[in-house]
Amino acid sequence: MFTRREVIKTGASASAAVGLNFSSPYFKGLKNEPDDPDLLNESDVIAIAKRAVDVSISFGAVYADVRIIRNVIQQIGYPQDNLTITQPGDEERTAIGVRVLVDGCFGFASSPFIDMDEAAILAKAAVDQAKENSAVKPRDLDWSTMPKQKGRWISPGKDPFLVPIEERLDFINAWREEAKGYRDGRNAVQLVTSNIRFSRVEKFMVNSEGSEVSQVLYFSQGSLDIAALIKGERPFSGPHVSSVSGLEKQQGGWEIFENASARKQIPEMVERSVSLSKVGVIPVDVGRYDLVFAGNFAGALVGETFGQSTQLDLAIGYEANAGGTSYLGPDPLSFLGTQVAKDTITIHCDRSGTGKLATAKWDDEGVTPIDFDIVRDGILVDYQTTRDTAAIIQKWYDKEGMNTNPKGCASSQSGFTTPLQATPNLKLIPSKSDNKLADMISNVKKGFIVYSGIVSTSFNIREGFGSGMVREIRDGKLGDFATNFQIMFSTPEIWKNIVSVGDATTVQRNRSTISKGQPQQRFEFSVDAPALLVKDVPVIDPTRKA
Amino acid sequence: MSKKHNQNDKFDKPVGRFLSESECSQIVKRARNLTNGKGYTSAAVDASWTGNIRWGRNEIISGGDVRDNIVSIRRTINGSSGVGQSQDLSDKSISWAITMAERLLQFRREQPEDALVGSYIEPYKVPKIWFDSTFNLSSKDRAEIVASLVKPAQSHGLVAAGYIQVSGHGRSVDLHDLDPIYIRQTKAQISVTVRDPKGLGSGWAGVDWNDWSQINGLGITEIAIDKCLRSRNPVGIEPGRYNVVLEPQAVHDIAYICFFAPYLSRPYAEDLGQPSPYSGIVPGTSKIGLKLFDERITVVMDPMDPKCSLSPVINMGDVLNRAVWVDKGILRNLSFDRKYGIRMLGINSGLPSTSSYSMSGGTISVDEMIERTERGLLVTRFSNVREVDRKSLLLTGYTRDGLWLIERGKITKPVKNMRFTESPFHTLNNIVELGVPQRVFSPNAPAVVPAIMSKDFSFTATIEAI
Repeated sequence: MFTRREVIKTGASASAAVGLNFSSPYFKGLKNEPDDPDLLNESDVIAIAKRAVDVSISFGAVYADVRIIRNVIQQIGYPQDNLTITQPGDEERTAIGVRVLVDGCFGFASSPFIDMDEAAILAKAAVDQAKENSAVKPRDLDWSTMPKQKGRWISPGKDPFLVPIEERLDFINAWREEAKGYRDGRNAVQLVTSNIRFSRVEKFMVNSEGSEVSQVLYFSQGSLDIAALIKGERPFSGPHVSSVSGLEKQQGGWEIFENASARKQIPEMVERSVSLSKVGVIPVDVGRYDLVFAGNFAGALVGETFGQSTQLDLAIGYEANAGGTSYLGPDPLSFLGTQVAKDTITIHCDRSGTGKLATAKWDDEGVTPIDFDIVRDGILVDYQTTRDTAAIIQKWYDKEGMNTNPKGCASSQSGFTTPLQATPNLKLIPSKSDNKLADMISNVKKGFIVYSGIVSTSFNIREGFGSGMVREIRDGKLGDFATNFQIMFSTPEIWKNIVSVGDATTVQRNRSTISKGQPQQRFEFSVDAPALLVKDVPVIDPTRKA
Repeated sequence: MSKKHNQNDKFDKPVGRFLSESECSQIVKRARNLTNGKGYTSAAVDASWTGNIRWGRNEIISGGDVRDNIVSIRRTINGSSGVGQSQDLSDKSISWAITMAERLLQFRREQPEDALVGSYIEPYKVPKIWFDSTFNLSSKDRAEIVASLVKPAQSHGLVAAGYIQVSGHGRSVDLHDLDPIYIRQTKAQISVTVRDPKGLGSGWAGVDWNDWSQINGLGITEIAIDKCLRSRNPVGIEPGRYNVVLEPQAVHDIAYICFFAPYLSRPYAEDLGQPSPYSGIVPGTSKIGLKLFDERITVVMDPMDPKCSLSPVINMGDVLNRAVWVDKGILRNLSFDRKYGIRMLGINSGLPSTSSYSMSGGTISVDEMIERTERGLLVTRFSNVREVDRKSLLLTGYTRDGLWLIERGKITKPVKNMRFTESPFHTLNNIVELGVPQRVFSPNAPAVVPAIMSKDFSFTATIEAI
């Protein structure tokens, strides 16, 4: 009889014919580095996953899918002007998750032991669980077969974990050396944070329909910040802080650092920090204003409103006990085809754009993601769907003659969790006719421009607030920065109050995040959006009480 | 489609059990044998099993059994230390974790206190935090419980969503030359949302305990159903300042931040550069000794308190001592680790915090508070709470899952949800009455909190979200 104790005794990888070596690639470049493959061995992993699928089916599952996911994360850098390197947030997590379907009910089991015996144990446990669930509470689930997918996809980029840590540290240190004490005339700047962070996700998915896919995704980001000194204070945030551009979190590898010309940016960053530190700062006057949202902030608004409210599982109530519901629910059919924004608004979804955070070749249910619109000319035309939800709006698809396949939005943060509906990359389509940021600013008599910031919505996305880096506009010209500025909005209203949409020159990329599910999972996606001119937005001082 | 499985396949091992004390100590022994060179080696093994089930729209939508484990190795050489972690238990992976720890310590400053900390463990007692009632709640039990909880919602024509999670955790800490520690505990949580099928009303209730048998799932569901039914078709009222009756969960949703571990940190309060809610007026000092709350408020964290028990050893052997954060309204202590104790206070002792807290209360029931309210609002809970200002802990967020107008001692109508902008320091200073402290839903850091009747709570806008 096989026992857990034996696995422990012999070591996980030795306990079965096929086991995996978790050779850590953290410190490639270290002495005595073992000669190990840096990625998991594809055929070994697929064999283990297939074993779990086979066992699930043999015990009576009508469908099974198995994910083996390995996340490696490394962060190195310096907090503020401190000279000590931060404790790197190194992390390597690998897990296998087996999900099975019996009589409309799912069962799921997962563990960090990736071997043949464990695969079988998990499969059996998942089937037992699904049977127990369906025995007491059968579920009416429309689960249609999807085409078989096979292949391997590696996101373009230079694996950051293969770059020796010395080289990565040298990159930061060289930049810091050059930026330290840089002066613009009499004005010195100082270092704020400087850190770089990488992650690599290896995803393997095998299901009982014959799909076998594997993907390797790299993500990289850096924040190399400097700040102008203001009255000798330690200014860690504000308009006088500049960051090296091109290092925002993206799907990509070490090449983003090689391409950023980070040191060449320093003189311009210093000039920007110093000149912006001299712009006045005024408290905001509460009222309704015309506002320009720069692309970055417009993207945050798109991500937080339509990025969430059009998730079909959220709309129908699956998330009611967690994050909440959607104002575009609970009956999605009553909202499809209705106006949800001004007719100049079209929002497109994709998981294919290079460098975007939600880009993948397959989703975590083995579905090939398709590009689609959720809002077209202001009309709600679709929801984000996965395999267990797409059929809910079948009537709409039939009526419109649309493809009824799930959109490929399923994602699992790790092997320990079941796939959930996650938001794909979004794109707010820019205006075809000329409408530059300067044009939009010149059209505002008395208002503000919001450059970047945070948007946060209520538990059904029906209302929200946003704040960020804001500058006053007076008679079409930029004025002082504003503090204690917050917009308060009703989602349907703000999207109907769009006066104009910026052209392609105003497009910026925003990184959006959603957290959902129980246990909670977190997903990231990119939003490309042009600037927006919006009328009559309530502006409040968030520090003022009633 | 179906394939015959091999007779020799082993399927009988129940999924979701974790490493025992002897298994942990074997791992630690192996880790020690893999270490070469001078210095100290400490190791911790965390192993856990989690079982969960989730329902929505009256259906079971997912469930799971998850096992996890992680080994942390700390290497200390010449007073500088680094930690490496491995999830895989093979010699090879553990060796990597050791290499990583040794690599990291080269980047760190030498801290002589590190060596002291690693050479002694403060005395501690282990409360009863392991319960078979939780560990033995099988996936079958969980499914049956959900079926029984969905039924009453269905019979009212309502839709229920909810989540149950039970888990077992084993933590072994082995410091150089000291007796190893092994502590195991169970945790259980339930939360239920019941909604009107058209989205016209919503109710919620939830709680967490170490012991599943303390949890009355049906009772929780009935509260959610009752709140849903009574909250339907709310009317809008003017935002402004209202007297409020905050149910214990609502108090916790804003008060937790006062006792949130990073904010309770004494080094953080004394840091010149960072705005902390507990930084003193004189730079570099804290607010210890100042009266910050109503004198009826005393807040403690006591691992041995059966109503709020905690595992007494955290991190690499830090002991959770009983801490009195607030005594009769006066801030008595802020948290610090043993390194700070040795360096700054000359004591070989720490006062760590885990964000867990127990707040004192009174004897008044929520119903009595309502009777004593001339005009005010009854709040079930707050949601989407965000910080507006760190120093004053000004927060903003929304009411959720049941808000009612109280007029002349009676609940008169459900009210549309509102956004609030308020600081818990203000609310906990404007107390009229305190209720009986009870365990609330706070699965990451257990909390015991009373209902509170408070004056002049600031609501800044009416919202449509239900």
